[in-house]
Amino acid sequence: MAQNQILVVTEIKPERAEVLNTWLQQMAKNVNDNTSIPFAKFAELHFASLFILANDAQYQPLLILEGNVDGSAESFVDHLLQLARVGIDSIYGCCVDYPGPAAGDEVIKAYLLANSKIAIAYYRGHRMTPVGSVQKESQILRPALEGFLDSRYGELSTLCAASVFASIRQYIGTNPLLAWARTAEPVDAQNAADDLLAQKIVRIGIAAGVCALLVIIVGFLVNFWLTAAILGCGIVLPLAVFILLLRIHEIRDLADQQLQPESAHLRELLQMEDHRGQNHLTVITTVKPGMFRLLTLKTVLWAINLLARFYFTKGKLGNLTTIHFARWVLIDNGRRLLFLSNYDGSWQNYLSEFIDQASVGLTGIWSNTVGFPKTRFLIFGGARNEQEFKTFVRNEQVLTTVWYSAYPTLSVENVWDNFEVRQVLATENANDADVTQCLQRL
Amino acid sequence: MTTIKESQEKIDPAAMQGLIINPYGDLPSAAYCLLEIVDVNQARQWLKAITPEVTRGDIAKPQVGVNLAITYDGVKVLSPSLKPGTFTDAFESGMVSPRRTRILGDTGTSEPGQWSWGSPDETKEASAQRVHLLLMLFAVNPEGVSELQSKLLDTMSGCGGLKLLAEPVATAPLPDNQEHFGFRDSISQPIIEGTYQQARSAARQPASAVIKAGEFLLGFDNQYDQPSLSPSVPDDSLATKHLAANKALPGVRDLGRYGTYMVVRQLEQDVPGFWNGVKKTAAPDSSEDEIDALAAKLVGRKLDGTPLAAPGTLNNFGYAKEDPLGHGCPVGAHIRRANPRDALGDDPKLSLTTVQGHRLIRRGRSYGPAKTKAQRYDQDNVVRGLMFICLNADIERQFEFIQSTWLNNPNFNRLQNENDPVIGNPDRAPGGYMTIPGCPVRKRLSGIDRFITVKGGAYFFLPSIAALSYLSELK
Repeated sequence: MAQNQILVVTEIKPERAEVLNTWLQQMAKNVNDNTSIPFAKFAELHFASLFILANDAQYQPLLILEGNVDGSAESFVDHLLQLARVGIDSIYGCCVDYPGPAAGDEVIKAYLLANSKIAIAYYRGHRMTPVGSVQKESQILRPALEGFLDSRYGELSTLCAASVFASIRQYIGTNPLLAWARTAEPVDAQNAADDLLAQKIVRIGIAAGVCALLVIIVGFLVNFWLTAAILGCGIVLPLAVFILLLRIHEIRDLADQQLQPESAHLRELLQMEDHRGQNHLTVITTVKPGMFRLLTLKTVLWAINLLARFYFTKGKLGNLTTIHFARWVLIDNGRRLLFLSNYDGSWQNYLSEFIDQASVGLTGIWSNTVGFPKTRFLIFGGARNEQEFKTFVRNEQVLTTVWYSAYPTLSVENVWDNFEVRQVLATENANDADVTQCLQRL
Repeated sequence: MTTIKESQEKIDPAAMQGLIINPYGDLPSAAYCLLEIVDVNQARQWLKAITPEVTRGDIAKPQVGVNLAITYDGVKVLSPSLKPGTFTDAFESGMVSPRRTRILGDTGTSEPGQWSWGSPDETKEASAQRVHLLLMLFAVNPEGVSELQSKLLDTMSGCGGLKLLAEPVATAPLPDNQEHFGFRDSISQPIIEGTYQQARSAARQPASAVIKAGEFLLGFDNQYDQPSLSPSVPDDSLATKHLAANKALPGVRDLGRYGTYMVVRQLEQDVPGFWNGVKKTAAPDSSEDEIDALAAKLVGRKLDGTPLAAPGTLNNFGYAKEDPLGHGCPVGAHIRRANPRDALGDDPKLSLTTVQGHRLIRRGRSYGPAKTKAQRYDQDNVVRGLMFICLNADIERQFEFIQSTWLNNPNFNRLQNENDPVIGNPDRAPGGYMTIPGCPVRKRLSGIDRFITVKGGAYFFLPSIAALSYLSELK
């Protein structure tokens, strides 16, 4: 079942913001099994968050519900109303235009979906695994295999890899609790279609490139000056204009010169972090005024989304291996940019990775928003200014009051390792390389 | 334009305290004196008198070593008008906030409430609020240290303004540069770029050990080619004449330049616990050599320091080529967690870049009597351990990062539910597991206990010589 995004953004009635905040804090004390939305009861839910974007001079307070789910957003909403209608009434009763407890589920569903925002860029770190499989692979299969290897180590360590592998397979075959692990995780139709489309895109891209090159060469041979003029006006000139405009914007931009985040805000954020191996990051920034910045931002995010969906499908976004789910969403008619990420490890580690390994992409995005460190040519400088960048993120970071993870002790790499182990073990006649790798993952 | 880049600027060792650049190998005895400032005027007088005695970095072979570090509470006492936010958040909020206790893994028996010094429990004599200064004394023998201590703390002018909070922790080296478990220690150290260390240790350390000065000195360019964050103070008193002007910001002076942050943790080591634990984990009837070999797997080095990943060298090695799968040095071994070198993820070059942003200068020393190899299983109820000291410009990105993201991380580098087998906190990964990769199949240890108890600790600022003068002359 394909993994999908849902993000419900609703305006909070200002007079109810306080009540709602208290309500959310109450939920945060028992995220998995609270009475409002018992998140752990949703077997399709990987990660979720529920929090308030506080009001400021320009914007009303907003309530954000983030979900990363197996199956469609609509079926998740159905499930939500089925299991937590009372909670939804209390929570969304604090929001503008909520139809109210008397309305039918269909009306509420329409309300929630109407207020949903689709991310411009969405990334999934392990798109092949439904929640149930991630949990079973880590909570049942892996401990069983570890236990088997521990208890039989003396004997197994004297065998060859193929024999060890065969014994493990035999063990799975005889253990009724592991019957499900005898078959591989089925490939999701949506993912398969994406992969096919990706191949097509590459093929069409190469073909188009070759054609364009041929046309240009022929053009130069037939009429050099005309071709040069067309190329100049069609490609070089617009590019030059874009770069010129960009530099004008960048030189005029004022960067946030602060070097340390505001400490009360920071303390609040730090209290929430590092309770376990995963963390959540919410950052809200204001898009710089003018169409130029908005269009640039949309283009960059569109390109990143394309890569995230079709190219970075093996657990690595560029070099980043720590992201389970992340998304970039424009809200308030494109005036604000919301970044949501469910990641592994500490904030310090995540930000260091941003700087060391992904500064080009992040600078390409965030330099279009207010307060970002000084940037050159869209992708240089910016996030490489370590202290300024970290301060920028801290200052624009929002407290994720309620945050849920269906497998809080697993890293993205763990999910992949457990998945691969199961896949290979479920394969008849696995090849030597796969067998060796499978054993290394245990 | 004739602007000189900071990194090309010559580093003047005379401006910094010697400990940063010099481990004082010729001064094997040391004492660490925790002091409370009880009378600020007298304490300033003492500070003024002691500043000329402080060992500077330009003295290559000092007869004795004297260095002085200050906590945030100490700085606030000496400089009452100091604005919050002058220093970094980590230094100002200290080592014992609930969050830091969580990320450093100081739970259970290592819980700060039970520490003998630096505890948040205000009823304690050496509570965090009272620890203001750490006077570090180094000499060739214990008598030299006592002499130094009585000279500096009993007879110096103004010393009445100070209170010695506890019996100083005295350290003496163990044979062959060992720590108490019996392993050779302090082998891998970063080299500060642009200092005399570079020529001296180049042959012994890998090229990647050369680290920008700003990782260890405030106000200099760091690994990101940015000046490390350095505290500034307004230029509003006569005392600021000692401090360099801040080029970027008029009206303020640089208090941090040539200073650094110093992390101190007193780590008690349960030597019989460690060795009996290893023995219990080893196959029954294992020989002493086999037990040594298993212990080496936990550490990543043999007792004599030989790295398991590359036995031909002491420290000039990586993992990516030599031992990518961890068949020599397990991925979860202590030294591979503390410094993963080129083996984080699958890109060695990228890994080195990452790792270079998380290095520490270690200046720890052992306290308590040594045990011989023959005595290592015998419970003797004698207190011994490591006065762990490290220096870094960014406590969060360096010390705390290594402690939480690498050492105490159950998911470190693809592992699942494991912790550092030597200094880790098993609460974070129940079961005390450690995987020892092998062919065809891994061996897994379980029930590894905790052999280290934190007994005290604090974050200090190790000021430059100029900053010491400034603090002593503030009114």
